[in-house]
Amino acid sequence: VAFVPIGDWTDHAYAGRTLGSVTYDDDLDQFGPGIGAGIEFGWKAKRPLMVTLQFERTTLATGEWEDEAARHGSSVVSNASQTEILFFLSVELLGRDSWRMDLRLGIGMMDASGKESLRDPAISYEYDFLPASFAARGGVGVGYRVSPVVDLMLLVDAVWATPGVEYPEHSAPYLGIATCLGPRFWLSAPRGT
Amino acid sequence: MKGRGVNIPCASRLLAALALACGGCCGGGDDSEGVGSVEVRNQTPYFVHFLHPDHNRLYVEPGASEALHVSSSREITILIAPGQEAKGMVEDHASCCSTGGEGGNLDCASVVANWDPGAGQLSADVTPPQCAGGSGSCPYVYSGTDPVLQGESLVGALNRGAARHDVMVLSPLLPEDGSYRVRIAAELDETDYIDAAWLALVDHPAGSRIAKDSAGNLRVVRTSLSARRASDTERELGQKLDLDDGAAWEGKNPDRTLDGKIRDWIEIDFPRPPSTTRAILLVRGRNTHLLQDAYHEYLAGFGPGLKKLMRLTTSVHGYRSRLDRYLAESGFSLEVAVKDGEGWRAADPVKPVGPAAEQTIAVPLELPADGAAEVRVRLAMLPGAWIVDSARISFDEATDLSMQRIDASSALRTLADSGKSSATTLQAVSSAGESTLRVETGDSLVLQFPAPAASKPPAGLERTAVLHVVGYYEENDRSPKPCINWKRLLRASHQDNSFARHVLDRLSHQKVVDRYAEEAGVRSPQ
Repeated sequence: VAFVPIGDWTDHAYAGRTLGSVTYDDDLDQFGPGIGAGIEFGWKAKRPLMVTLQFERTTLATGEWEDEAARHGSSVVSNASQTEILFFLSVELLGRDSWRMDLRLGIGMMDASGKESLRDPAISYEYDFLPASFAARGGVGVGYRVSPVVDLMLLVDAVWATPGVEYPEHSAPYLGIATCLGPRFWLSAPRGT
Repeated sequence: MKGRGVNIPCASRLLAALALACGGCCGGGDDSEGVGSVEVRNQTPYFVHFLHPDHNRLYVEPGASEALHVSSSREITILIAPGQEAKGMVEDHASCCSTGGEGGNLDCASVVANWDPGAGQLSADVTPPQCAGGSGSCPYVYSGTDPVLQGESLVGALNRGAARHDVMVLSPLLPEDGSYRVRIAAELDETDYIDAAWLALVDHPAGSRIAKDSAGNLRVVRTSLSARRASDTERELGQKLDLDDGAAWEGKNPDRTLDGKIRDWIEIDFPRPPSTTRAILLVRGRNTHLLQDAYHEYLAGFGPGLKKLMRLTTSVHGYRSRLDRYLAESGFSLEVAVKDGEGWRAADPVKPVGPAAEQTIAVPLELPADGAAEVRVRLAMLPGAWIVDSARISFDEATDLSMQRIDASSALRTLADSGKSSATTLQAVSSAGESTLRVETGDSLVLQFPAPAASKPPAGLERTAVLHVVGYYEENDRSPKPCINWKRLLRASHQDNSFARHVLDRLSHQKVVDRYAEEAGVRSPQ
């Protein structure tokens, strides 16, 4: 899974601010794109509908923030991630011998978390501004039949979750694009029924 | 006792106490400690992190306020957020106490982060919650027209049932304009009740001194010896305890226990003249502010009803003895023991004297029959509870004392009597009076004692003034709510060293503060 966060929620609290003699760039990000893994369990009772339950966890890059902190004398080591659990309803738009295409829409929860450690003073703390949020996610899935029981799937979803990031002075919903590539195993029943 | 107190018959008091007990509700019905908010404000020019074990609040902007949702009193860390040109971190204690509201609501401290641009230093101002019970304490005693703080009187005489006759050696106190002047002040959040006060002038051999023991008996000390050796677990103390010079020992090791109690201690070896069987140990020191603050915070955690309950039960038989026992077991006293063979024999403890000023307390010692050339004494304290300035020993024989009692010739309360001498006030504090004088917070009782016609002591003697006070004090109860956090109270009563652990939490925090103060070149107050 590759997760590319988009929108204001990735902005660092300092972005565009002048503190003391330092002016921080408008584009200073707290978080950046990350990678991870997921698993999805599904049930297809009757064509063209399928329901699935998806778990997914990806990292969120923090290198830009660490570099910025280092430029101003702070040695920061940080990490962040996001975890999702969603129920999806998929509609098969296209189903041929080797190819298939689904339109998918899911709702569930997204929980982001993070932590950073300073060297001076030596202290670690959790990010408190990443609350668990109600999530909605939708996109398309394209599958290629590799064998009678295995499809190679590419899922591309837009993710939205609210309330999203909550700094003391501003908040913004989580937004991002999730791209998943992996096999889908069919345990029983022909896919077309 | 002739105290006035609250005019509720004893049976009614018990019924009221029972009603209070049944109606107590603080702390909620589950195992949680309750919920409350620590209000934080960033008055620095930088983004600040407020870190609390229950709730972090990061990137609080300059000038912004936030609320941390917490469940108990804990340490709060304030940190200049990284990536700015300034750095800084401070820790402080964000206390909470029960408000008595439903659902176990807590009233918590508010914390303001400040920045000193000159020193480039972060600091925190912590305002304790209203229900913390203030900082009530014992009456402060001053002597002379250019007042000298002598210390606290009636320490431990909390509520009418614990009223006592206290003795304080005033040194030095000379007559001014034909009289001795003493002021008894209710400076903290308390109300003092004075049944009687008088002065005793003690004539004793020139060059000797007078010291009281914890029972109020006076001892004459002509000569005293310093220790040959004194050490705690970590180091030799050298001559630190030889003189009343401010160089003091503060037991702060939290990892030692003595008879199951958390205690730190020192062992002191004194020379012992041949064939001596008794001695007087002279300990000069005081309790710490840390102990007093921890005590208030600890009690506040049980809810505002506890003070009411204590007052209601103050007439119950044994109140004073139970309170004394509680204070001793909780670590307010300095425990004294003498090495005897392979074991230790307990001597009278040094009862608490409060944190306002040092006092010298005499402890009579029965020496072991082994005839050794040294006597070893152990002073044990709840870590963080005492500061011991000096410890010396005297082998003087007991001396009869010539004492002259002087009753006050004028008395006034600076506020209640508008600063004018009052016959009613004088009558109230005279021994023949039938009433108790009430001294409210912020008020002072000023007493003038006439110097005797023979103003100088006989040749070869010198004179020391000793104040006698009979009375008690009450900590002011500002909360109208009656409830008690019974769950916490029961848990504390079943937990060994419950109060001691609370003090250790405070002490741990104090060590952090001291470390940062030391790094900043500032000494923090004890």
